Amino acid sequence: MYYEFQNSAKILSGDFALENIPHELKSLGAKKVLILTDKTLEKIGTLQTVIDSMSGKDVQIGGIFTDIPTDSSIDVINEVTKKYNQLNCDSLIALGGGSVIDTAKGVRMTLSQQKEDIMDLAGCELINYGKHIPFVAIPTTSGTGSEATLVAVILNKVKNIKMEFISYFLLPDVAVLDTRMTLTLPPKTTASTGMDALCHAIESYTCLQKNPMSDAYATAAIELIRDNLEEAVKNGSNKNARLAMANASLMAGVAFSNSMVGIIHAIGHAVGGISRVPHGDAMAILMPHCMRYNKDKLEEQYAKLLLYIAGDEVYAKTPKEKRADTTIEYVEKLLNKMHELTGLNTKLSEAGVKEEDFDKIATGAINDGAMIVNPKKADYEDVIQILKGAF
Amino acid sequence: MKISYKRKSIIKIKAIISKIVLFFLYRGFKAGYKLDTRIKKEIDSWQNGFSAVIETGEKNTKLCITKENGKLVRKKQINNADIVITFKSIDVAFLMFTGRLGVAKAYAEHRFTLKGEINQTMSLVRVIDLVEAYLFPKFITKNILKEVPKKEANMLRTYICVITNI
Repeated sequence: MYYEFQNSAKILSGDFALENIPHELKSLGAKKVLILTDKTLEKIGTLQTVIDSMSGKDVQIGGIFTDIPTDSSIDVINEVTKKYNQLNCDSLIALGGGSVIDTAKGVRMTLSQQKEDIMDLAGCELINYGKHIPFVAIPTTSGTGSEATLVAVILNKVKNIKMEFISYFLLPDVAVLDTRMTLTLPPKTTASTGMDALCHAIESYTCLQKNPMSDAYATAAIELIRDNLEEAVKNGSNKNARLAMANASLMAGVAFSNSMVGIIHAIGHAVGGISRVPHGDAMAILMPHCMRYNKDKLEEQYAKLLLYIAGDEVYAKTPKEKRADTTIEYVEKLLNKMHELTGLNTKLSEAGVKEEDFDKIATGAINDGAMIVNPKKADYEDVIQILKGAF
Repeated sequence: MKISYKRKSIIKIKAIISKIVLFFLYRGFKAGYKLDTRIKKEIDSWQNGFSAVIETGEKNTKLCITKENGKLVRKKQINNADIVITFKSIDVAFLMFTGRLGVAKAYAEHRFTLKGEINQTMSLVRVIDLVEAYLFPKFITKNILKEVPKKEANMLRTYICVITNI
């Protein structure tokens, strides 16, 4: 057996975590920071909270870029890179969900390698350390785990596919989990992103590169999600539940960054790229269907996951041969619960996917990098069958 | 201290064997194109001018292929190929070329770096998997492939094509 594991980001988690960002940036040698975020976070005051936390004199805000769309794209990355250079910034703060953080990763990669176009860097573990650009990630959702991963998923508008860039040098220097960033997250988004975190944990526990380290992060994340997702959805102002979900998301991110994700993400990326279904929604809908597809290969792992997803009482009472199925049932129950509480879609048809797009989605899915690490082979026809089941 | 003679010899032997396997892998691509509809479909989906390099980084052990006029052609050297798979060590490349490590597992274990689009590489990986299923016996492929694909041509015919380059 062989595995590699890296979790190099310093984690600031809890009360007044934001206020420590200037100190961290200063210690990383930064003086002038570019903040990347989106219009919504500017509008609802989240950006202002972060700006207010940067009150010291050590680090100056050199610029703020708020035009980041829902799906980070190559064009946006190249645009931000230009702005960073024009403003003479020396560091980055990403404030947002997966798309903002992935955009910042792309910008940092382009800057550190001193390239003008990120497409020159497409690939896997291709880049060297390069010029160090201090980088702080502040997630405003609890789902993508992007603040702790070596992957950036970026939309190629020309090809209409989500491309993966993979490098250990994409990991932020600092990941900041502060409940002020997620308290206003609407219940439906909380549910969707929470299911995304669950999906990361489950896939990382079952993919080809699973290892003792990633297993520890994945199972701990699942327990936190089990105990806190429903409460965070029902009572968004519960700081404990919010922080627990933020920790769970980061831990699931660490897990899948080191073990990768499989078929659920391969199909989900294609569904997102072609039908524009939000990533978390796609994960939530596809999860039980893909788990059933994988079950004959992953019976043992799914059975073990019952302990974490349902608790020790249920695990002990469930006969060994039924544990894998019960795990999938629990995932389905959680999805239905989220649907009941927030209206989260449970079928692809409800999420806006059209049957005539199945061909494009299946083609995109089998060409997605996540498919290679799924333990069970899946070809075009297998994906079509999964899509039909989830429709 | 210098690298020991024993280690140098091992690297040399592994490089020689890897070169031989890469030679047959290329022949396997060509034979597979004629004998297997799935391999033909994948290679047909590659644009003319598409190029790929699989290299070990030691002793100039590499396979450089490009598609010219609809056909796969082997080159001695390709600069700026669309896809470049570089194994981090000759030892791991040797494991893969001798049927003891599959492409998927090698990727999962971060055994190689990849330059180029991952999406495009997936097609190349599917072809390698299929070619391996023809070149290696089942007791090997069942350990390195997630699923041993059904063969559309028998091994004897495949080997004749590979050896005679027909």
